[in-house]
Amino acid sequence: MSLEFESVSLQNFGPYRSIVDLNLLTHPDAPIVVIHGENTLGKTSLFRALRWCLYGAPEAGKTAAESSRSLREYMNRPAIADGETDMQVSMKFTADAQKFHLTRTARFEGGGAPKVTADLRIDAEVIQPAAIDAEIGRQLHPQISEFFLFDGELLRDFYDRLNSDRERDLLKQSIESVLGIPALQLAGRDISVMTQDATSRQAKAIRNRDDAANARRQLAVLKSRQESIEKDRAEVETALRKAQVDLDDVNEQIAAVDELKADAREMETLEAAIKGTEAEERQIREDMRNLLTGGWLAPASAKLSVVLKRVEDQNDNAQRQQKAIQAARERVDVLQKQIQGGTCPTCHQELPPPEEATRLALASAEDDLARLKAAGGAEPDLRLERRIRELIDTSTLPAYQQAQERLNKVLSAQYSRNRRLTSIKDRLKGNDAAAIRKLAYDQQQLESAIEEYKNSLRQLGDDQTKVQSDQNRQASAIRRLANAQPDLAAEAYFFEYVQQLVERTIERYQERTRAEVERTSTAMFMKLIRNPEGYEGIRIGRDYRVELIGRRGPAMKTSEGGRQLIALSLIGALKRAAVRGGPVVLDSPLARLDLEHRANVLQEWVPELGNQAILLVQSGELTEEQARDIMGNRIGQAYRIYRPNDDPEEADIVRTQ
Amino acid sequence: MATDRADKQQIGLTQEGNDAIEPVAKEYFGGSQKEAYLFAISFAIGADLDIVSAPQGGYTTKYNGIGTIDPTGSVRELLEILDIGEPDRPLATMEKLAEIGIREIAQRLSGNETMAEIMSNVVSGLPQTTQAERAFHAAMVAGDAQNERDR
Repeated sequence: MSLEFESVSLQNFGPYRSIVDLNLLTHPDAPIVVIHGENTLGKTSLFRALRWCLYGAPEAGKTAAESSRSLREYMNRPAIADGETDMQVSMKFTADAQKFHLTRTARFEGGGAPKVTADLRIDAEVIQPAAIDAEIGRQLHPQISEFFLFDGELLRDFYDRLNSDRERDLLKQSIESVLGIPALQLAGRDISVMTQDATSRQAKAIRNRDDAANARRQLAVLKSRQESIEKDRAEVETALRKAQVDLDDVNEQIAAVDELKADAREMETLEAAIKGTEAEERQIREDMRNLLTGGWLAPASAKLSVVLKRVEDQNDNAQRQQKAIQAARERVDVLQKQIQGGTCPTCHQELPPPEEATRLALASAEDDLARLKAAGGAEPDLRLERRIRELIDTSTLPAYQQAQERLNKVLSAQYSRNRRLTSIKDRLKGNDAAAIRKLAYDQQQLESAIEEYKNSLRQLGDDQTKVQSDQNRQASAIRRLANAQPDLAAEAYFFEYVQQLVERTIERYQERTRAEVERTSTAMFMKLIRNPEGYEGIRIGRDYRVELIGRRGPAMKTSEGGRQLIALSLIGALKRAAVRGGPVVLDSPLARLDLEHRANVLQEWVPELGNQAILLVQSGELTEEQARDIMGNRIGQAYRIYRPNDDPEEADIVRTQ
Repeated sequence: MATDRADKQQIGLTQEGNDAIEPVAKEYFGGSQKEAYLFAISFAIGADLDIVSAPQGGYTTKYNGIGTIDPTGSVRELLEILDIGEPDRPLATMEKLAEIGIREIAQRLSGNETMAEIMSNVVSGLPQTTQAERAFHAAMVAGDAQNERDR
């Protein structure tokens, strides 16, 4: 396969607001793209963006319909806050010398599931929307997507999954589906019909009446059985398809129920918060009422302050005036005493007789006193000043404003909670417990029915094989009868031969794939494991049961690390069996391995997977320095995911090599 | 502005004043119209409302005698200190101030102002309500109106 990813663009997906044409092109000598990013920065978001773009479902094992409701979790939240409604991922890749440009867009309007659209152009041709999934499936079939869109988390339980019949069956079907085995099986059935037709014509040509009647009777029985099987198969297949569609529908409704459960929990929390806040609101309003009631004079305080200032000034002036009068009066008293004679009140010495200057000074002082008294000046009204001060209220307004701010916050929070509560209640309308229980019951019934239909189809396949075998036996018997016509016999021979050829081809194809997966996984495991001499290899049964073979035989026990290496080997081998070449994207594939095994995986395993490997790693599993040391110039491009600001909901990607 | 007329013994509000005081008292004074009445007097003084614009008649009695509405004498003192109205007719002055005060408060509250803003606007030198708070208040009022329509 010549498929190669060229670039990816993201708009509002996960933490990425806008990544334009992140270059993923590699050179055959440097086929590795490493994208470093610490935990929570957005490696898995980038990985899931690729999966969503290709298949419409960000997570493995889910259909596009099942994923639809959870898509909102991937929409960038700062973008939502900015009023944006579109989430988009776009990929450019080449395959078979053609250029593909795939764009998937989810538009979120209202509270329900988003409207998802896809656009695919191959060279200049615009592909019809209904044909897009088939076109992508032709290049990278979704059933084997786990092998080239490899989630490191898969390692944890991949080995264990292979020990369950159901998972093994799914895996086998996936591989066989990609290899085209169902088409061969259909061809086998068609050839069976043709064989039957040729045998019937042979039977008609038999001249012996008894032999002819006998052959016709037996052929009629076989034909009836064949028709019955075909009819049953058609009915079961129709029922199976319907049950699967119904199950998808029920699963979608159940996914919605899970959301409803979360809604119900959130509703309880909201209602409790609303109740608590209502009490707080009542208390604040009560405080505000008390403030207004006790502080009713506050609005007049500014006016009172103006008057207070005036009264204060008047009182100050009056006090100054009185002090001046007092000083003038004291001056007059001293001068009068000087003129009257006597002793000095301070030194108690006899005062000298008054001079003319003293008399003049007394006259001047008496004039001053008289002038000051004449100027008047009211007594300072300190009672009024005190009373005004008592009336002025400077504390109510700041306290009221603070209370108003608290109330605004409370009301704002309450308003948001109530709106959220209303939208949740709308969603919960018409979803009572009985309806939800019925969904769970329907799901169980449908799953059982699907299992039964599949068993029936397997049984019909066995019946079909038996009918074919009987047909062949009957054809042989007819050939042995006298008067058999050579041209009809040759035709019957031919169809029988082709029938066997197809059956053997299927068997060989299955066996060759199994053997190839076994051989490749063993080779990979031997390269990855520290002491390969202690192991014989990995055995894969016809039913894809996996066993580790040691020096002392099968069913060898191994550690957790060993099981992860087996899983890596098996995934690598399956990927090679299903898709030759092509890209592989690996999200945290090394997290559970020690350094030596990490180096082995990077040097031995990754290059085996395809012609382009995109590694998403965090420093705990591989630092930038370790990446350079281990992979050297095989790294074609290196990027680092970083946070452009303190917002944990935003990330960007910068090229480092 | 002395006058020979005797002061009123019963004071109250006009019909318009009564219509205004009812929701204000209910929302901001725990239903006490007397507290709202006193607040309206204080507000009318603080906001420099023109007492001359008050209706000359049409008042229905709410309070009988000065002891009912101003037992501590604070309002009379306020009027005296600030020299408002007719000195010998404090009750008549109170009535007119309450009438124009309560009408103005009700009108401003209905115009998206909060009580804190109304108080701030008459008390100079104290912090004013922020634009953001006003915007929030307007949004709340709009939201309530929407809820009302939805209902």
